[in-house]
Amino acid sequence: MATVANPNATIIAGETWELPKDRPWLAKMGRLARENPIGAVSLLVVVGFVFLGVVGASLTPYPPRELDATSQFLSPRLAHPFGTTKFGQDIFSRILAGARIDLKFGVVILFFGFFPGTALGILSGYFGRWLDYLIQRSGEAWGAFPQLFLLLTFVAAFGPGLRTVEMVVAIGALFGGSRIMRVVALVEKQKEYVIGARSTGASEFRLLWRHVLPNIMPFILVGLSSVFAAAVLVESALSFLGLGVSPGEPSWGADLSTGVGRGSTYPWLVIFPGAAISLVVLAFNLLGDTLRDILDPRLRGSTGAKR
Amino acid sequence: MLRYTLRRLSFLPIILIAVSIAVFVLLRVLPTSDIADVIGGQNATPEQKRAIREQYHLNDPIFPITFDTSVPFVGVQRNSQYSRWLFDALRGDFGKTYLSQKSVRSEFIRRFPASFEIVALSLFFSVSFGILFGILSAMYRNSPLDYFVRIFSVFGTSVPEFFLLSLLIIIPSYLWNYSAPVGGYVPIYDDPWTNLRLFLPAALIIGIGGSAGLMRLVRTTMLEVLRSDYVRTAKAKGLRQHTVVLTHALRNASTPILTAVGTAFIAVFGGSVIAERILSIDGNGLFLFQSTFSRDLPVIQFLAIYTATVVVLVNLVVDLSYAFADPRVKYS
Amino acid sequence: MAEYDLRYWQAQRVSRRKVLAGAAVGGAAIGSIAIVGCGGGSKTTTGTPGAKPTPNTTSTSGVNDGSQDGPAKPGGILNVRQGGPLPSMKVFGPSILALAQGLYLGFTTYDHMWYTPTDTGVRELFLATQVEQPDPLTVIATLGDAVFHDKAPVNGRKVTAEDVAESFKRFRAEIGVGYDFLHNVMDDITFTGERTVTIKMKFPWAWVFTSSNAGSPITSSILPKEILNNDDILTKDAIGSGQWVLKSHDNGANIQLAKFDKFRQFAGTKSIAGQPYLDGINNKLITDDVAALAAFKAGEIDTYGFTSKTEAEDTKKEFGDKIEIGSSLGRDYTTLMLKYEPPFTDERVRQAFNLLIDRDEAIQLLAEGSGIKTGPIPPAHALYALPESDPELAEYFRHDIADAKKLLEAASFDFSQEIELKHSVRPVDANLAQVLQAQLQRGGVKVKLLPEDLVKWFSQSLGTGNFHMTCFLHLAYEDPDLPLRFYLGAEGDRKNFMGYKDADVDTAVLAAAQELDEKARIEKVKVAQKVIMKKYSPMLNIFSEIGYGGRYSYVKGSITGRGSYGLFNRTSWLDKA
Repeated sequence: MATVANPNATIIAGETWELPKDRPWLAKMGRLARENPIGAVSLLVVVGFVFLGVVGASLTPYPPRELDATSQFLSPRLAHPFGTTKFGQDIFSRILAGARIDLKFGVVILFFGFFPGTALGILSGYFGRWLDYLIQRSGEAWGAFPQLFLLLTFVAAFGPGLRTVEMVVAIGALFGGSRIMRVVALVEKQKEYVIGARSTGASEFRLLWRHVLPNIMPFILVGLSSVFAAAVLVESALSFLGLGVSPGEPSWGADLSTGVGRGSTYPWLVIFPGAAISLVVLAFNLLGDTLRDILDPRLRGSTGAKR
Repeated sequence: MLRYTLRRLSFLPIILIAVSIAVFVLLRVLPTSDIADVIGGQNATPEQKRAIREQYHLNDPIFPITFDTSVPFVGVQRNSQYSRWLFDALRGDFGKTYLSQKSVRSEFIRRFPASFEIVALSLFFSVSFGILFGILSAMYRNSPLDYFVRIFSVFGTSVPEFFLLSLLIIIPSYLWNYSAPVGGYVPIYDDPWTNLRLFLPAALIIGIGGSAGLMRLVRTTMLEVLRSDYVRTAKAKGLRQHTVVLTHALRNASTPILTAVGTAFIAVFGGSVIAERILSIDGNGLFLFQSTFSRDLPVIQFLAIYTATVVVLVNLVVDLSYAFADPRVKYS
Repeated sequence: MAEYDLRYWQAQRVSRRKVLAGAAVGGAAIGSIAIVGCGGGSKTTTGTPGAKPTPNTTSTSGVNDGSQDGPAKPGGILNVRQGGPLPSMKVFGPSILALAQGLYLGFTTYDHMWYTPTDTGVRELFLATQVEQPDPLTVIATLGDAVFHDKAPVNGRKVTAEDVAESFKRFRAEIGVGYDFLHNVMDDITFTGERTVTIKMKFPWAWVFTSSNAGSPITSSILPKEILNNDDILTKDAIGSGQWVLKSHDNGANIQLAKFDKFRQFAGTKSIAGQPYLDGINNKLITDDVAALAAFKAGEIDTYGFTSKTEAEDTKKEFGDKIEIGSSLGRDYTTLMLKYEPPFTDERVRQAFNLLIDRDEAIQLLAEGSGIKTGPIPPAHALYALPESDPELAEYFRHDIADAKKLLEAASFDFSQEIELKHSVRPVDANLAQVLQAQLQRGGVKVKLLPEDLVKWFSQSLGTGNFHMTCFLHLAYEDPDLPLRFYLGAEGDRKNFMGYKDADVDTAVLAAAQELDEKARIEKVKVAQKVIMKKYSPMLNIFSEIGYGGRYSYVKGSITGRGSYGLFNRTSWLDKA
């Protein structure tokens, strides 16, 4: 259902942004989380995902890549809660270990796409003019194409593999990030505190760093959550299509893909990896929605998050 | 309006040329696999390989203008790969596929009906469900329907379509030994039942999944519009709620909704590639997919141009429809 | 060769599809040598339409020549699965790309002078009524009476010796893989009058009549000379003199064949009166295995190649006597290929790698237990393969991690280096690579997998010898010539993927290939295998899979257990009211 469209589609869905009041936003978070049980649960899942991504590979009950000719296609049971694969690998262990690939992928997209994009967006929104024009037009051209088409074209040029996928997704995130942050920065530079600080003679750069950036931090957080949701989706989709990780690596998308062939006999090969992807993407999306609700009361109730 | 349309259309060739140059740079300037190895096999002698490259004009310079130090700075090449491709393309000849040696154009045309059907059906479901449930959800805010729509829309953006499409294959097979029809694409006018058994489930998954984002946006926009002064005025005038929603509110909300429909189209267009791949529907998405792996340059080039054309036209239609939907929008 | 498709490289479901891929890997496995028939004995095929063979349905080991079901009832249409569309109808074309149609049309619409079934190894005359070999370098064939299919511009005219010679020459004019015999062994082919064809060879070649040589289902196809260069006809239609007329196809898919009433109008060495018995064969394009099984169960297709033993058994349980299932040992086999450069120039290292391969585990993991370990020649070539009891073969199959480590240490093997194992992303190859990686790592050898898309792997890695290690599933070769020729050192046009050249191996292999007496040749083939095994020549074969197939009980007269021979499909008939 969720398409491999622009990874930033969810954060640029045509919604306008309003900044929180000048109260420190972090202090409000705790209370708001209590008011938002779904958001809190999503946060837990997200924290769990990040935790698994960092240490999951060492928590697995079985080595995720170890072949075992004596335990092929076991149905879910106590020793193997999610069953085993054709190679006798424990699916539960593979799912625990698989978080790392998605986390790594997401982090790469953040550092090579979203963060530079954010910086670019702030700069272009703040300083405007030709830089702004250039970035925005290129972003529109890039975003106009279905991402899968871009990915396939790049795969044809550079060959399959996560590197190629990362490159395409990072470029998308770069433009996406810049687009949102530009709007935010445009709004922000009209605010009184900026004008006030400027009148005291603060340098533009200092102004940006000390005053504007902290105020738009919440938006970066929302964007971050969307970038991760998109990263998990794209990585699994591309690994599913065989354009991503190399064979045997515990990637949820790749595992789902190898499972489909025997899925009508051994459904657990498909269900558990698919559920893992869905759960994590859902959690990131819900977390992003909750954050947005908190940050922009006007839009409250616009998402699935119940109150 | 007409002038605006014409002006926008006049950009199309420029965009297409830009796209074709970009694809040429990606696929020909960068070192990729040598088609002579693919076609000739490793038994081919260097002369034979050269002959194959000659046959595909791959020994020619890529672009008509080269930067060459031996000639004073810029050299003009008469028979470059790009100019050859461009002039052929202008005549409607997009070359032959490397691997099957068939006309790219006729291969595309042959696959077009299947791709068109899946995109059209998916878009239909996507737009109709998205707008209908978005409006209902906004009108009956906080009703069970509203909650359902909101939960659904988050699930819709989170559950990957390749997962659902995989389930579409394995669950009926697991439970009832059922499989989708076999034997290739059957046009809907030949055998509607066979055709729809293949396309309807896939289109529902892509379409309803794709409708989630639209649904959400329609709901948000409608909520904002419904809260606005003129809607309140209209209600105060005593107009019935349906009239208010359908004539006043919807019209005012049309611009962002139409934009989202454009986005939904692009999403469905991409989603159809995955559906074709998983369900073995022999359409142009699968064509692109296969050609990517075999580095069949003429196919990739043509499909990039085709996609660009579709994207540009869809955006144009969306922009023009603003004016129809919202009288305040005027193009000159 | 499991078929393969370009949508491939991941889901197994997808792996059993189709064409180009099948074609490409066909080329891959065949390498620079020759194209041979495939299918028949194995569950796997090139994805050639209808070539999803139905292995032996009555017993697991016996040969079934199609006559066991009593007198045939003529008529009826057999519905079979087509794994993927044929890219074209042109049987010669850019190398590997013409493989799928070359095989399919070669078995159906085109006739040949002779064919050598893999089980007997004895040449069977087809269009030729008499074959003489006056000296080791000359083969003279006399043709019988036959006409081409009644299609313009040939219009059912008589098949002449000139057609045969011109067809051979046309195939020889193609560059690329698959035509090693035509390029390197055959000196010339000439015709005298309407009935006599003479093949001259450059050097004695005992395998001349087999399927990877002048009996190839592809390159010995007889086409009418007037269409040999007519691409308009060749790409869309097939006009041959074979038992089946190409009736219609939908851009290479859903091919329909009709019986050729005037098939070989002479009394040949074997009675073919009334054959083929069927009125026609309809292929139904089903790229997906899950869908194909469902279609078989629904009776939309009459035969099906199962993906595993369990699937076959489950289906049998469900359908009982309505269907028959059978199994047969595939001629395709998996292999680990090492590049002949350090560290693999050291025989001890190669032996150690061979000791690290756990063939039993590989069979269990990759084939769910149904497979047989294979030496230099796969066991399905029963005449030529070494018997399982052979002590040297047993030594070759030994798995011993401790001994392997000792050997590696003795050879001062550098355990810190990471060796690349290249493989195609075809699921069957990718799975094999994973298993080999795990097994080698148990001996302390670090292995890095390097997946490549099939075309690239084939043309730029395997084909050019650009690898340290690579692994893949070979095609199902119809004769023992090809499996042995892989070990021959490069010479002239011939290449060796591994860059391997060993005088003893070359001598032994060529001695077998040039031994005209069959009994003596069988012995020399065995000797050559022993030389190859003793030196741990750098292509370490692993196992062949047992394939399972099913058909409805009303399908009678199928030839099974005879390699690809059943693909001619002349003796099948339907016992339906």
